Amino acid sequence: MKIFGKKLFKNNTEAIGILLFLLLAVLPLVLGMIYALLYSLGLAGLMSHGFTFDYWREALSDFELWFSLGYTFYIALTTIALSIFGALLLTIYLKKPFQQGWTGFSLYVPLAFPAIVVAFLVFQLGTQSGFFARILFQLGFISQPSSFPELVNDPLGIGIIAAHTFMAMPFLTLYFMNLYDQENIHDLSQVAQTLGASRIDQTRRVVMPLLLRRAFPTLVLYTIFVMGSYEIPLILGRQSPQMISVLVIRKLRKFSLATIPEAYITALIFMVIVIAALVILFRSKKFSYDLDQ
Amino acid sequence: MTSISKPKSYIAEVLAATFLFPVAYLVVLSLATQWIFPHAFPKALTLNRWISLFTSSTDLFSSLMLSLGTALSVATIATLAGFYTSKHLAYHPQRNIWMRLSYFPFVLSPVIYAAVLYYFFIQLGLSGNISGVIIAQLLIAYPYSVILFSGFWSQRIHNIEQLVQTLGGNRWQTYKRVLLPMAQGLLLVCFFQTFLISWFEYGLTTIIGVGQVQTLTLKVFQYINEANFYNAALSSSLLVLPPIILLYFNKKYLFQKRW
Repeated sequence: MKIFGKKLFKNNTEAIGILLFLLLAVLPLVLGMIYALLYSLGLAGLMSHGFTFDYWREALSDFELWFSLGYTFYIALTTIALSIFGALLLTIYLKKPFQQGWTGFSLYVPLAFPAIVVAFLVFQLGTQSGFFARILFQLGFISQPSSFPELVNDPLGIGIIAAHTFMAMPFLTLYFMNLYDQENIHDLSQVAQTLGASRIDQTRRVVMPLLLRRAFPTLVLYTIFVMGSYEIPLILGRQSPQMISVLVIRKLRKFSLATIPEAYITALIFMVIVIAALVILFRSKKFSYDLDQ
Repeated sequence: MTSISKPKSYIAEVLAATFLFPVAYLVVLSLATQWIFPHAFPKALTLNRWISLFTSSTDLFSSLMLSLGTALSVATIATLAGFYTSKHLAYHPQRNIWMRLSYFPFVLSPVIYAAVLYYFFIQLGLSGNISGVIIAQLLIAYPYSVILFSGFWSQRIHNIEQLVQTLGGNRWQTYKRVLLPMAQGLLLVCFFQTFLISWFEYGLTTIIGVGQVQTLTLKVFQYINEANFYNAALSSSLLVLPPIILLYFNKKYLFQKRW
């Protein structure tokens, strides 16, 4: 053991550090994936009747799984696109006012909101008898709650997208503003202007590409985060389609045991997508391990 | 000092008010006696809910204390363990692999992570109790802490550490008198960030805690389900208040690239 230990680690403190990391960060993930895989193959759990691909065949032919995956991608990509658009506008056109005084402070406030509170807020504001509907009623624009458009539990996921955008846009704005200063984008923009670039050209060919290229890893990680969100679609979504996390938990917690293998298969598919996205991301030369850049 | 054009300033102020509006809305809803359609404003306000929270032993107060205890435990353990581990990972020849591995549990959906781990928590007798929830939250907060500290362990820090040892300092003295003071700012950021990871957590807590570990986030969900929106607003205000206090002291405690 000692010889083995010496080969792997320089000393005991290093061994403790790395073993702690393996125990808390690597082992649970590996065990969780192995258990889910074994369950889905009929080799573990209450539904284990020997090796079978039946659960996989059933799950992969289930339209709900693919619909849910598509819906999850749609919500995540729409959220991230809207948030990037909003954050770029704020960074490029309103950077100065948002860097001073109470307006600057306000940009940090949405970061103080947990997802479940944001979901509750959007629910309170956006339902047909919610705050926005009441304001429109008082102003005489609508005569009854049902005249107000469905913004919550709606088929297009407007409430879910709004909630995520409320959280993501200020975060990305602050991030873009930091990058703007770090990368000296103002100076580069000035150089472009000296060389004859119009204001639009400066934005389109200098500012936006620089910000987006530098922020790409963070944007990918944030998209994965939105894809895996649970509380917001749970409160603001509808029974069908459901985002992937909600679908997994619904299938896992159903009274029927028959849906459990399908829940694990759905979870595994999502985990493989996340791992694949991360592996691709890690190949990017721009990727940095230091979060505090 | 550069001047800001008036229209830009107005637009920024309108947007800033939009970002601040939810806080005001939550507080007003938590104070409202009754606020239903079609009224744009509550009929009357009362402090009763807030007063009873601190004067009588309510469920919500227990949840507040439970959330606080859980978040403090998770933040303390994750920060110290992350600081200690990240050093060994950062100076290890396989640093790239370790750092890449640390992203997986952190980026993965906590609720899906909890779903695949639930069996092991049952087997270890850790489901449905507070220690299980703390351990489960550590599985996310700890890798984050490792990632955050990885940037600290530079060649410069390594050289300083070696210098201290050359001058006769032992390992404990190196930590106590050099490394910990140098990392003080980052330790605080990490502590507050991991505190918030735990404070904001819902999905993983509800799965591993089997709904029995009633943290504040679970209370919000429970009140929404019961259509008790006034209490949901009160618990939401309690959730939002500590991060806003942190924000007042230092914005960096709140804004940290988590993704």
